[in-house]
Amino acid sequence: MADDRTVQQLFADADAPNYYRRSQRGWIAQRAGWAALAAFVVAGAAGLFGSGPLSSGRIVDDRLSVDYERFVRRDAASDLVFRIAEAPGRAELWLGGEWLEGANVESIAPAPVAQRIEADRVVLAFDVAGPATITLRYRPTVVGRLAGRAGLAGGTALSFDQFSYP
Amino acid sequence: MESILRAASMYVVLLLFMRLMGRRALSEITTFDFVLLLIIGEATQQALLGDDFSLVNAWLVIGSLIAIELAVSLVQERWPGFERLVNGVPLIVVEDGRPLRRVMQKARVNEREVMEAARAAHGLERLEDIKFAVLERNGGISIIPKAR
Repeated sequence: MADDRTVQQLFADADAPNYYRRSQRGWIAQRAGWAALAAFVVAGAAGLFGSGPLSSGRIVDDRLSVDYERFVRRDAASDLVFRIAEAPGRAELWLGGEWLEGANVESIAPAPVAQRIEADRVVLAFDVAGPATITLRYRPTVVGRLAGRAGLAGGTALSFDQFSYP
Repeated sequence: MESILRAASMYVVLLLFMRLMGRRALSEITTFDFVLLLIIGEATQQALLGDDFSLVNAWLVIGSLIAIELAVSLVQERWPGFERLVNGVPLIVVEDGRPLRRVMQKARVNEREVMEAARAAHGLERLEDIKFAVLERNGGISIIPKAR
């Protein structure tokens, strides 16, 4: 290994005595960077940035359940899956207006037979016989918190909190 | 999660395809090769990002690719066999002025290319002046001239 004198000659560098300490610091910084990168990727795999075990959430009450992603990404499609336990005839599902302001709804499958706008919510009506699953596909248009509220007409309101990454 | 799986699968598939293409493919790049690479890049981009245009997704995909690349290089450092698998081995194509025809044919290198490298690096005029010509893993040819 070259000593400080050699380094001084080679690079005509008067700071040669610091050379090794500096390169040492550089290596340490690089390793720390690797660790940070690995942590970032592992967090991503776990779902901290959407789609993964950390991210999938579900809220249940006796008549309705909602599957949602806790972490979503702006402009990336995501699904809300509503499961209606039982509703003879027509089921009316409502969605909070605040959430709708921050998300661009792309499709609702199956399509509702009727839609109605109320003060601070949108009501979607479906003809159901027995348990039903409704998938709502959307893309968040905001960055930050997305506060969702949904429920069946006449039932309790379910709230779910989402965070939208840029 | 999904972004990472996409990145990992594209990494493996691309590595496999590039190995199939052989090492000479990229060292002598023609206009058509360049266009082909651009098209491959386009197709890869579609597969990597899908229709997710968020910043975080791009960070994740890039981060995963770099992490995989780093991991592969660390594994290569530890197990030389793995490195041979990923990058191949250097091939001797000329020994003591004698071209090794079978090797050259398999690696798709000809004498003209060897002499080109010999002229460029050492100003050699004849094959006999070459002690060793080695086809390196990056597709370049390195020349060791005979001592005069």
